[in-house]
Amino acid sequence: MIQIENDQVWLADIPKSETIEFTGLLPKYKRLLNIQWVIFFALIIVGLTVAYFTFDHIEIIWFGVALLVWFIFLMIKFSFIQLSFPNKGYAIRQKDLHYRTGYLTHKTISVPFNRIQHVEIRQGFISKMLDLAVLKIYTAGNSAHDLSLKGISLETAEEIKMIVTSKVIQDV
Amino acid sequence: MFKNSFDTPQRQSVTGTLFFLIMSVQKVIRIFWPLLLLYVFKGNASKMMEPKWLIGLLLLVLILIAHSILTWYNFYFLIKDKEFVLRKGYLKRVVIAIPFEKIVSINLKQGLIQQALGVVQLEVDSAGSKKKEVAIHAISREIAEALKEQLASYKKNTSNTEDSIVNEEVEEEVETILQLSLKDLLRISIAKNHFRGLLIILAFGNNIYYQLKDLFESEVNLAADRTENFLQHSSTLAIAGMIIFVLLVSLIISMTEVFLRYYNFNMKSFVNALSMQSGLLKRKNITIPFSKIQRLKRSVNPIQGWLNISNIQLVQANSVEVSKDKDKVSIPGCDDGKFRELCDKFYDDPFSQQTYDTKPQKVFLRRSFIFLFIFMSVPVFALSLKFNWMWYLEILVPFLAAGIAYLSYYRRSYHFSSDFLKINSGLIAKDFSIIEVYKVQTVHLKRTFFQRRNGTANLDLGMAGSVVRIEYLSYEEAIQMKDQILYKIEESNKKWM
Repeated sequence: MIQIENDQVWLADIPKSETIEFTGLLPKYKRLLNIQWVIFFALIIVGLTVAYFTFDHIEIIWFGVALLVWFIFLMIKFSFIQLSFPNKGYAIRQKDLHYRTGYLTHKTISVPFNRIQHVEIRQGFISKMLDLAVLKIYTAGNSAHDLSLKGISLETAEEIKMIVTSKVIQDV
Repeated sequence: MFKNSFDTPQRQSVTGTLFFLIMSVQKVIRIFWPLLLLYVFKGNASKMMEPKWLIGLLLLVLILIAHSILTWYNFYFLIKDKEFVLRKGYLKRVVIAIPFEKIVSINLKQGLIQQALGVVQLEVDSAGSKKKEVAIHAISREIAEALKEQLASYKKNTSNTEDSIVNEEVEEEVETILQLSLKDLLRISIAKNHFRGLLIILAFGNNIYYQLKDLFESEVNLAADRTENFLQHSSTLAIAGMIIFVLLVSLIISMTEVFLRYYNFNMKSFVNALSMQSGLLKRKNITIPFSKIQRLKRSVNPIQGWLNISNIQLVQANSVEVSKDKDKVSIPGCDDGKFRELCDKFYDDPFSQQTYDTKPQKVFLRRSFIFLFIFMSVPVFALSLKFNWMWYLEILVPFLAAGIAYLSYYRRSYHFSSDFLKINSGLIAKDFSIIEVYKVQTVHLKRTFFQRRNGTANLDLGMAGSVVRIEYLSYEEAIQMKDQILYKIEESNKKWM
């Protein structure tokens, strides 16, 4: 067993969070988000219209209300996408990886390299066209708390994957 | 003592064929019972006696017997090259080999059938094998114990080579830590949370009531009228009786539960593992290596506090997500001394380190009050639209909300030392959690819009199998704690599982 000094709880000379410099996500990612959500809202409006015309006993007023709700949600979602984008970013230090996101609730997720189980790169249809990729990082922690690094180019994703896997192997 | 090296392939105990036979009969019945029911209810039962059906049945029985014999005959297990190997299957041959270092835990189980046949089931949990069941279903207890010991000892050897300084002189030291007598079980069942039992009564009571009502509509109405009459005349007595009855029934429910699960509970500690046996109908045997323990939770409700017992839960790491009850192991009925003893066993000196103690910021009190107030007011308002007198309950709501908010604020405190994090929380029960800092997997820092305004933050520590929430620290504290935790994880080269 390594004897660890018991007297001091807070160690002084350790890397500080304040010094982390986050790299912003690619602006293309905002476009991807916009496209994805436009498709989502378009599908909903199509669904609503189809529902209105197939069931004739729905009154026009309810259709109007549904449209209004739809519009409000759309406005909120898109303003959140614009507003939260500057806050999103990632940072890689020597021994850990950080991802920052959120608008109403700011979240910073930190994963030390020596706790990473495996790494996965994903690319959807639209993101392929935009040359974007998602780097999913799996830990043994709760799956809801796994980190997915979105909004980076495939090249960057491969690069980070290289860094992470080499560090993981080094540790073992 | 049974000596066996397990380096030659071995079959299961011969009674295993019977076990397989019973299991396959069970399976067949499970598949065909709707058909059987159909036959019986259509009055075609006599048709079953016709020769062609009888021959079919005979064939089926023969096939089942052949199947179980073949299954038994072709099932081998052995230990080879630091691997635990299973070979099985006669139509499709399967070979499963688990390297010792991948073995997470070894459990012995005994179901009703296995108990009757005098055999036990040995299950091996391993890291990485995707839910593939690695189990020997029917071997005699001596062989199972010997095999388990072998697997465990190999594990110990490998871990010894890794950090060679540790416990060389310590022999296989077995020590019984906790045994529960009938009296203990009784105390545990009294102190149990009876709400579950109560819910069961409500659920079933309702069901039974409706079924009875369907059957004897008029009688029930009469009885209901009578009881109503009775209630009006001697309401206090009746209500007291009702309460006593409900309490008694929920006590009985808790008692059966406790006796079924923890009958003859026996916990032993080895050099670096813990083994537990318990159960009345189904004996369960669980082995947990100390290093796999991710979190120790202790919970004491007021009655338990009065009886000086507590419930301890161990959260175990499994790289495969197995069923929940395997990850979380409960140890009932530990008193304060036993709790300390367990903590000292698992951890290296958990209570003497200097700690940094902190509590949620005062804002937490206000936030939880507002949240609870709204949360409780909504149903009251909704119901008061129907029942006018519900309005008066709204007067109680702020007091109740304030009480709960204060209690949860009062109970909550965090104690951070160089190796451990201890968390006190709870509402009615006192909860305590202890984790080793280097076993944290991810750190989340969260700040809602309001928290950014009042300078607080939440920390979520992702552990294997659970999440530890640290709420409403001041932002500086949270940042500092996060940095410390990350540093400790990164600096430690101890195995977290």
